Amino acid sequence: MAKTLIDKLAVLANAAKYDASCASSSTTRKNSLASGGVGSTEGMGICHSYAPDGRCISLLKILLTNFCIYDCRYCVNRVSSNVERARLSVDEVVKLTLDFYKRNYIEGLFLSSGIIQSSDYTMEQMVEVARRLRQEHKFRGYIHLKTIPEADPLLIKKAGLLADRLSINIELPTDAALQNYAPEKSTTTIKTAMAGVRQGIEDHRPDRKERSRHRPPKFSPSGQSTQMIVGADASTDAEIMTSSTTLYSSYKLKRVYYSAFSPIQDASKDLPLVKPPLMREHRLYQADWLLRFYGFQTEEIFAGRQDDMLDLNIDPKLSWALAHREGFPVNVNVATKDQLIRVPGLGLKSVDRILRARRQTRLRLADIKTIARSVKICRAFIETSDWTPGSLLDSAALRAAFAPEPKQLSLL
Amino acid sequence: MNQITLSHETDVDLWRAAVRPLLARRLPPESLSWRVGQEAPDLFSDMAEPPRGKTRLAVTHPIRITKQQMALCERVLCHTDPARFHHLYSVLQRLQMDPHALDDPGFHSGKWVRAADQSIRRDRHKMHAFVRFKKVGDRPSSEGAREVFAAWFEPDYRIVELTAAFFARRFTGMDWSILTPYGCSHWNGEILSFSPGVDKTHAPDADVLESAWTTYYSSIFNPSRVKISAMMSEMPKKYWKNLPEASVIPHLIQEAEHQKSGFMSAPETAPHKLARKITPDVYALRATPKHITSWDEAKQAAERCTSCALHQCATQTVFGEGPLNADLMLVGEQPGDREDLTGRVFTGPAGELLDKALIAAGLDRRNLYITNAVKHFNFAPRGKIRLHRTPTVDEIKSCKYWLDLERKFIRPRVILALGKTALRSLTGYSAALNSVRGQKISGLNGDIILATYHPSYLLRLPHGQARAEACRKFTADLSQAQSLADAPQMMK
Repeated sequence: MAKTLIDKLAVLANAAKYDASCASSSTTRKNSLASGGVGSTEGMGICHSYAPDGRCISLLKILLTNFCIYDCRYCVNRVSSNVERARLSVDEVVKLTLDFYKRNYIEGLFLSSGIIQSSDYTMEQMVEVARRLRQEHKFRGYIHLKTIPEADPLLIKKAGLLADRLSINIELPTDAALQNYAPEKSTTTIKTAMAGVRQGIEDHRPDRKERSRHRPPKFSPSGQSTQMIVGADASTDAEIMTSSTTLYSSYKLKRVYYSAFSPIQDASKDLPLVKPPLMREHRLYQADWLLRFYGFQTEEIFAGRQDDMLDLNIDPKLSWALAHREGFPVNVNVATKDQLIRVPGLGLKSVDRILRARRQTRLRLADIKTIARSVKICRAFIETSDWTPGSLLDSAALRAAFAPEPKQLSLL
Repeated sequence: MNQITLSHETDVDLWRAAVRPLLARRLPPESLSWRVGQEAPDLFSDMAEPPRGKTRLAVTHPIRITKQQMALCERVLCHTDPARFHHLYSVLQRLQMDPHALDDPGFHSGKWVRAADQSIRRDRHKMHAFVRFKKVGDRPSSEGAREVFAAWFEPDYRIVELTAAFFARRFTGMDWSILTPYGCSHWNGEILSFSPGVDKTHAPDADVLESAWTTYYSSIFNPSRVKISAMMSEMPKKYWKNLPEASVIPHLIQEAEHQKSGFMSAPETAPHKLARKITPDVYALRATPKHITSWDEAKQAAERCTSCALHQCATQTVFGEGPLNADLMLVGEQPGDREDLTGRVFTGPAGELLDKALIAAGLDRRNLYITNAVKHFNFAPRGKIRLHRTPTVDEIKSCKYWLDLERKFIRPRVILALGKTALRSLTGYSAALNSVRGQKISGLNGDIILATYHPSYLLRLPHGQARAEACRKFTADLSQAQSLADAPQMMK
């Protein structure tokens, strides 16, 4: 019996849920006032709904098809899997996107696909969806295309001119792991494709030196991102973060997404079919933030860690601060920004507010309470005009005060 | 006591016109009383009309309100607390003397306004996110039928006007109305209009697409990652009644546990029959020739070289390029950032300088074979950039294998080493470059090796005499290498 559109939607959304990214922000501002179509993007993306897994639903995240000729063992859509298969036509995806968008269900489309026939054929179909949305339907919403690294670079160039973001998944942190789990893929091909996207973005930037009015068409204005699966192979956190650091610096990625490997339907038995390591994923994101916004280096984060893994019980910044107590307490009334952002419990926004507030008044602990995310954590590391942590900072029990209570292992 | 009467709750224009002269006179906030439209007038109602238009008052102080501050006021006016007028005025008054007053954690009205602003922005954001349009019909127009949509929404504050422009920018191509208890906004493709609030009985009926949306919502949910608190904090229950997808949430949570345990205990199945029909192109098994017999094979094999750690971070192998019968071969140090991306030698800033020098020396790049001593980019990541790192002796050694193959297949008469690394790889010398520059060194294959600066070294020199001199020498070395390569054949 032929599948209805709703049946296909269920299969293909189900197949797409392992892609972590749902970002729809930081693209160029555009709207439909001039074109009379639908769609706008205004800097900050909007999450239109939240699923009970706590993740936002911002884009219509869907596969064009979940048939695939590849056999990547971590993937639910690999050729040897017995999952139900479906395929949507270009028209069906276009119509579904517009219909959902007009009801304000979504910010746009995140299109991905299994590889059918060839990489080029599949990529052509994806580019065609974006082209119809943009050109025939004057769609100005967000489009994220999951690029197929093996596809012709010319197709990737075409995709960049239509989409807000391109992403190419690195999948696993090391080359060896990728060869083991995804024999048809190669890190070199993936990285070369990322290099191509970076060049595309740079080539389409207006030349500042030439003061001409000429503005080249925007190429993937929201940049490129990638995704790494965490917990399917035996890579350590240090390996993962080293890989991210390389990717960020090499291809100017906007984001590296870490996706805790979660049990998939009809999984190959050599995969860890346990609860996805959500806390590990969370700690990796925290470490990633420390690298990108807090001026930390990978080596610093892993300096005191014997097994090259992040502490699951406390966040990496707190873990670092506890190992470097000699640098604390920091006086919030005089410390520099670089010192303040390394205080556990103070985020970039809090630090910014502290810097502004202390021009007005000498800060007391009560003021920090209204500013900081958690004064309970940061007070051990700061001095204010009416507070000093004294021996609290040197106390051996300090770590225990922050770590969650030890729990007896459950028998299951 | 000054009494200011606004025509409606979010009357920005009148509020603004009223506030300016009061601020100019630096009237204290306590001396003002605010009221809105139809409320019963108090005892002193007829004492002061809102000063509007061009009424000239004794302006004693200049007023400064920035664009951002005005936008803040516009938002906070949407609050439902009648105290908002008082707090806003207090803030504006202090801002006249102290533009950073809002940063003061001890300023009561400032704190109130900031907190109010935060809740209103959140409310606005949630309205942008959670309004759900339902199609109610089509309207014929000159450019064909326009779809007509309507939505019912219950915001916490009076933000209908504040949000309307956003919806017009986004849903320009359709007619829509957003109905709320605080007011309604309407768009017909050209004009945005507003009408008084209505009650829930006016809410539109269900839309045909809702079952597809709910299917999508259920399918995109990953049951093995249930985290209800995260969902609740971003999508509190108060919004659920107007969200079509929310009806399935309890069911999804209930199913999640069941489905998850199902995954883990399911028996392993045989691979799908399709798997046998498709012959995978397994990257790891792609043939690498055991004995390399040509330049092409060498290039292919080098692409997959893993003999040192550099391949892990670099993008790709950057092999040499040029005619295979070239008489002159240039050897640089290693690919840089640009070369690593393009996969081609000397395409970055050093390449540009080399090209200029080649032209100055009268050489044609198309006749040269150009390569590097090390084929992968060696760098240290620093945030968003990559810092060049000089290759280590071991890296040079392990990469020499490829350089030797290139020498074997190209058989150039002259090799010009650009910089110390290339010289070291070609000859094993680690002497200072200046001491060997200009000397002819005989290679083992009967070729002549010369050494000169690396173009990057020239780029690093400060502009001036020294750089001009070094560039001149560099160009001279290129010419010398070419004339040696052109010299009558002695032994090859």
